[in-house]
Amino acid sequence: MNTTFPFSAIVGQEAVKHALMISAIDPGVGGVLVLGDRGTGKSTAIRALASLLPPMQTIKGCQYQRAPHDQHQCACQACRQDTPEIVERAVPVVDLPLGVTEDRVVGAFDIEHALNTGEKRFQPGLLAAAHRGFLYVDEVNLLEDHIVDVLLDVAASGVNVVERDGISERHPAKFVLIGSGNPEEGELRPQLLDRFGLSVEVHTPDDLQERIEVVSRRGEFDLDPEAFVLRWKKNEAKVRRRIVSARSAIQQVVISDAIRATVSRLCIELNTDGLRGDLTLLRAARASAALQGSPQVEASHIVQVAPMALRHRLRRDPLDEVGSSVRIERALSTLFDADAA
Amino acid sequence: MNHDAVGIEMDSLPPQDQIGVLLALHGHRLGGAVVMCQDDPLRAERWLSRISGWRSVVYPPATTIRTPVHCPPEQLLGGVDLIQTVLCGHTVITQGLLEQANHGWLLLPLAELQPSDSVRAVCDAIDHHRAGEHPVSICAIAVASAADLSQLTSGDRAVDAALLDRMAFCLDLAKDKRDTLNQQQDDVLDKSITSALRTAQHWRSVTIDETLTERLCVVAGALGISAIRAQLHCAMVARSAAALAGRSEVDSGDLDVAMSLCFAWRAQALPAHEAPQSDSQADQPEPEPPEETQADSPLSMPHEHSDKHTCDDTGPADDTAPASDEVIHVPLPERLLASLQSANAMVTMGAGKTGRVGQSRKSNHHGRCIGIQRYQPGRGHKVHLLATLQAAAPWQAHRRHPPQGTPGRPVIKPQDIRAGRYKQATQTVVIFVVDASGSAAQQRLAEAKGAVELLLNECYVRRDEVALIVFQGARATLVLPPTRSLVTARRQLTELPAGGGTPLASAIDQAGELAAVVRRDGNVPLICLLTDGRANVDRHGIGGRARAMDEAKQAARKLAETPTRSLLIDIARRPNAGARELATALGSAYLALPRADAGSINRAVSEVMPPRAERVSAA
Repeated sequence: MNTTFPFSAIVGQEAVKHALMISAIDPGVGGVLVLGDRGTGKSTAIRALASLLPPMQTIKGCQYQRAPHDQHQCACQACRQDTPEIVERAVPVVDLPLGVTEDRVVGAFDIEHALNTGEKRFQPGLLAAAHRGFLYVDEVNLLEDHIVDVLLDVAASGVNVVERDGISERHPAKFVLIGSGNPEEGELRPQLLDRFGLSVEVHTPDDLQERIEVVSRRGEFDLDPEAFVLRWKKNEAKVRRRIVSARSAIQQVVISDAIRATVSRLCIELNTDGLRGDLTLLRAARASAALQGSPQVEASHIVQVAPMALRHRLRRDPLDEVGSSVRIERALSTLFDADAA
Repeated sequence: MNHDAVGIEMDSLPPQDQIGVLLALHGHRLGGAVVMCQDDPLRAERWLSRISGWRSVVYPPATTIRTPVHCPPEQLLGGVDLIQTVLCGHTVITQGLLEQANHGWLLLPLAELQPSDSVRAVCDAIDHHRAGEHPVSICAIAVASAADLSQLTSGDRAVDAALLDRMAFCLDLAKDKRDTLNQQQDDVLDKSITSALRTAQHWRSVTIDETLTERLCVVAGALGISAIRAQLHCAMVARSAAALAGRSEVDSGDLDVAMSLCFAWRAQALPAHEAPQSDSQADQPEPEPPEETQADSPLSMPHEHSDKHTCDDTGPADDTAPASDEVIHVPLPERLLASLQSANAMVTMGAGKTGRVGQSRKSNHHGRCIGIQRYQPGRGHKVHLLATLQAAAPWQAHRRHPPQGTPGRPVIKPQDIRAGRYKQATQTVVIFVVDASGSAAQQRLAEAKGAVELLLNECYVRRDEVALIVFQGARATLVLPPTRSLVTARRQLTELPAGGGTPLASAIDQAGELAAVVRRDGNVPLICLLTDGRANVDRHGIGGRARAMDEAKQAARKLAETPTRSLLIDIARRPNAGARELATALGSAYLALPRADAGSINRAVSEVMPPRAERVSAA
């Protein structure tokens, strides 16, 4: 019943797929914000990616999905055993429901346990459940601001620190934050926008062929999910291999000084706030280069990822409608034309 | 005609039976249906029990779970039952309604009143077949009290758009009455339907031709349906229709039925939005209505309605003034809305409420803790541990005789459990009511637009939501329901055409209705009315200045009785008595729109003029 639609079978949406793969290769890029219409397969893409990734090893029964060789101390029962059992499990994708309380997100005092046994115990929240996986927030623009703050804070630091209700708890929570939303329904505060690593826009495909392809593929999938997944198994394996090899190759990808200078010039040209733009752009370009099997970051990689790394960081008039992507493309073309000349 | 002895042709059935058969066959794959039956909500349950009967012929019996009206998400998803847990001494988990409805129907009465968190839980169950961690497969039947499709998508009876998007069908039981059939005919029909359901078990092997899929997508595009889900539903329905008829391949008749069921209600639900937004699609609607979508429409949406929409979109343009995109910024007092909210409060609120009262609302789980209340399950209460222990403390000595529980631990009874009361900052929704009539256009509509833009900037800083009501011609229209997207608000405003009469009374009425919706959601409405105050169209869309003015004042007084703050900006060339009287009747602040300053006029002029150098070269 719960077979996921294969990642490689998703029609179009190249930008989203690219951004998600980058975040899977290098989680340090810092989350992806997907903005677009309803029913464009945003959540399908995220689930598909997670089920495509190779399963991870973890200690059986650990509430925090601790990796077997993680040095970090884990307080849970399972990890305190001398020879903990190691199991494989799928990369988690945790959904954050709208209207969720802060308790549920960060974890809280386990009230049932306290009332029944009189013992104080910490009940891990969704952040713990998402450790080493993805945390997916649909309609992030409608989420209460203080919860978004917590999410971004923890996503950036990789550690969840809880100091409340007389509880003092600290546990690792390294996850890739994926936010999605429909900008027509409301906007995110600029200071939150800036904290997402990449940002992409999705639209309902207006190309007829693409729509037909979507309808017929989805139809096939609904008829017989298992057979459909089997048919796409080869393509899925191909994408998985690319991601796995990119993960191991990323450390060896060289970034030349010339590329660094180009990136800085681009960010100065666009007048981005802060230095996060420069850093994210470089990291994303490196992951993109690794994905394409290139030994060093080339100008073409910068061109590929610059729109998604920078478009949400430009200073703009709140009522301005001119897309930031256009401005970035303009800046890119002037920059690289100048270099060529 | 029936080629197969046991199959049944879809188009021989009334729409409610078509939808019923399809849902009986595989409701959990189609999300479900929105059912409109404003006068008799029980009709939906009768209809459901009929199709439930059909379903039980081919599948194990399905349960029907009815949710309460304001169903909190905890009740849908289930969880720990605190009271039982304390009583029994071990954790007791209650099953959520979604889980109880597994393999059956989830009936959502008054779907428009369901909290958005709960709607999200239902959507999640439909999309991913799960409720929390439990796998479920449900078919949701949302019963809406809307009278027609336009009410279904906007206004105070609108059903959450996310839920509508996931529903394959919309059924109007108020219009589609099939009680005329007698019992005997019903029995015959039931028999043929159940035999068709048995044959339809092979639906997985039904093939659909590429050209038909293409036709489906083309029609969807022509009708301006961008939701991919509608097309997926449609393909599935076409396949099922073929299976029910005993065919192994979808033919064009099946597709027509599917399109009339899945597309018709969506296409007509959104006529007004399509026209301004998509230039590329503007030329497409002509080759459209493939007869089945309009003629066979199960909803037979009154045609005059959609016609009226198109009239309103195009009509005013040739009335008087052409659509003016011009926007002039005039100097407005800074922080106008903020000052209005605090200073104007005493004028309008009456009853001794002053200051920022109404700026915060109470909640059971969000915000800052302001007090303690007794815990009640199913209300979304959040347990306050310290208060619970405090409540239990005085009884401990008493409860230890005779000894119970583990010695050394406090004995806690269900009545001790306390929950926090929380206060949450609320959202302000600024409702702009803009006069786009001919008289206003001649006067200062451009400056009015500029004024609204400046106010929008202020809204951005304050993180307010905005809504836009425009009135012209025969009536007022809600152009933009409350949103935080100021870009959309501005776009709607810039594209505003002008012309026609001034239906001030209906504008004030509509603003009042919207304000009531906003208040119901726990937010604070703020009405900002921009008009020259010269009403000349009454509530019924009939001209006549005296009557229109009377009605406008009457509407204003009615609105003034509700606790809604308002501001009237007079956009007449010269401040006039009519607008001022109206402001008094509304109990609102009055502001004559200041003149655009010389600087901005200069700038506007110089932008229009070509640069001098060019002129020389041209000469």
